[in-house]
Amino acid sequence: MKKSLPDIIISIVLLGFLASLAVQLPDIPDISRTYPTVLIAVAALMSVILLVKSVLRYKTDETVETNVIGQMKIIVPFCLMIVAYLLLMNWLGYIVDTVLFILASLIYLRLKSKVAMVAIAVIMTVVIYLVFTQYLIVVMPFGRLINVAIL
Amino acid sequence: MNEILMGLTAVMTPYNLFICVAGLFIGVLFGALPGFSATMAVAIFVPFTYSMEPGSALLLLSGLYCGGVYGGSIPAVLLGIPGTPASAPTALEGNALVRKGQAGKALHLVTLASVFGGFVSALCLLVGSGLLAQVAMMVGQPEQMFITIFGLSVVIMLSEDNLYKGVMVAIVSLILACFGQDPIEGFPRFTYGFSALISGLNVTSVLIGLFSLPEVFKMLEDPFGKIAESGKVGSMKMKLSELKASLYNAIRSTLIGVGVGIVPAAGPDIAAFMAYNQAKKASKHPEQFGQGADEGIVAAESGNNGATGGSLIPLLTLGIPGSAPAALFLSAMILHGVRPGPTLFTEHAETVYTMIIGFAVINLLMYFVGMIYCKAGSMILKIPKAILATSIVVLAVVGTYSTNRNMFDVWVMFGAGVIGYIMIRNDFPIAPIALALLLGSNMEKAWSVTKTLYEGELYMIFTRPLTVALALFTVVSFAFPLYKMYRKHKNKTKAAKAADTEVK
Repeated sequence: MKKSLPDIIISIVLLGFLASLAVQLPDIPDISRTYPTVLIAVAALMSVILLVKSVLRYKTDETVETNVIGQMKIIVPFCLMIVAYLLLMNWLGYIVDTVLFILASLIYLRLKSKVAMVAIAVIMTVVIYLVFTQYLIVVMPFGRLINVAIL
Repeated sequence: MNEILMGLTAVMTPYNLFICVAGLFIGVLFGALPGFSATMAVAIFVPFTYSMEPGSALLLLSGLYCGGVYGGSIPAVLLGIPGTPASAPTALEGNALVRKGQAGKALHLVTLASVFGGFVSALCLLVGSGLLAQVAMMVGQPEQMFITIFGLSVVIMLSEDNLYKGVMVAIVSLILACFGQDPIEGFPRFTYGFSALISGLNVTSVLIGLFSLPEVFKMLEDPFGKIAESGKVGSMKMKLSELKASLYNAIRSTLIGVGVGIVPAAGPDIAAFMAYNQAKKASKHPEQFGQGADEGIVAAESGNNGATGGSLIPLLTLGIPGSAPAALFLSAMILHGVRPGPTLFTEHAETVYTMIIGFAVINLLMYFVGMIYCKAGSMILKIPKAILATSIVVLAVVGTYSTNRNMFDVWVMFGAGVIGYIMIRNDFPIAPIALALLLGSNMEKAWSVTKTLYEGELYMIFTRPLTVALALFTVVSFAFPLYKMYRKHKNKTKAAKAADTEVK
């Protein structure tokens, strides 16, 4: 991969994000608009300069060998597991969802002992749940499916 | 003097000493848990003080506050995850030391610097309340504006290796700080139709994601390796010469902390960054910052703990709560019939001196409580990465959820974590995000109010002596690191030319 490629991608994404903010500016009253407008303009200018510099550098840049693909093969599935964990939180409730996530994560990361896996999943979830709900008075999601099952 | 002795006698009763230690133990735990903070600890325990004597109640809250500010540094060092925003600079240096197998040294340094900062701030509270209150009275919106701009100059030092990208990150983060209601009219901006964004992005969620998930992803790059290179905690012993070398840095950082603490709306987080910045500027080895510099840890920790005492000065002397914890102290004091203000030191001498002396004693006790936590916490380094990575994700999720009890913040935390990882991989510094998000709303408010107050005659702000002083500091703060970088670049070019000539 060429060294300047990530900078090109990041500046294009950033310009897209700034454009999405800029289109909202006309709806904001004058008094609340000036400060963000200045910031958006400066950020856009800096992104354009970074983009142009990176594009100009792209041809002369050396290709650097990285293990990005190998690392992404581990990280992306783990991210998807976190996404599933968050999506299921309101459905399964904190306890069931967290036990499942911990088990899945430890299996994925190849923890050897199965007994340790189950013990960690159950103990960690219960301890966190009790500390947060009983002592810190945080109401954790109970789970719509659990509610339906109880009813 | 009599009042001081009276306060000391009250603090030294077994019951009050127990209250101080209990407050510290709980406070450190709150600080160490991602998503929890010193403010939250004080808030939760205010109702518990109803049945207590006023002095004991304030001692409990002081223990929670000091312990909470200190506690954030333990996960910052061991895992690179700051328990509170005030520990973000500590995470940069402390975690680098952990990777070198010097976790013990880093934890001891954090504890000593915190104790020093907190103790000196208590002395300032005792001795200098009157004088410092006068300074606090002079701080208006124009001064606040320059203080925030001065704070942003830290970005230059934080991104010395990649200044352009660092400034760019800071500006984009200032835009993110504009999300939600504007500080003057309350008009909701950039909400993308999400009602959860009306109150803006939750800074704590962003910081938890930014500092925790990238560490998890870095662990996954080599899931079977060890956290510290040596796999060991390392010795906690420190040489007297090392302590002596840090003394001047600790005094300077503590004074910065106290100064920042008395400014309304500034607190331990801003103090930590400012002290860290000044330490880097003054250091003979600024290149070691980011690689595990002792000076960075000492500065950040004495700075943020220095702000604890400072933040109570305007409250006790003027009755003005300048920060969220100070506002909670105010509510607890009113609850117990103690009204802060100019008459406090005469009408409620025993209570207020019990609190101030207790503040100093609590900071000394913090050393022992802190070392117990550090020894227990350092076991973390022996845990396999698979378990640690999983635990961090679970704690980050529950910690973020608990701040506002909604899943939207958890998604923000996850997004911030992924973006943070991409940034780190591509040489975009992440520390300026923390600073810009913390200062952003203050800066916009101060700017807007100043503009309204001095409509058409903005130059009139320079008739205020403190504004002029702060403006000069700000200019120097931006110019000095740039000049230093220019000199460094020039020397490098000279050296390269000389080497070329020699070869020829």
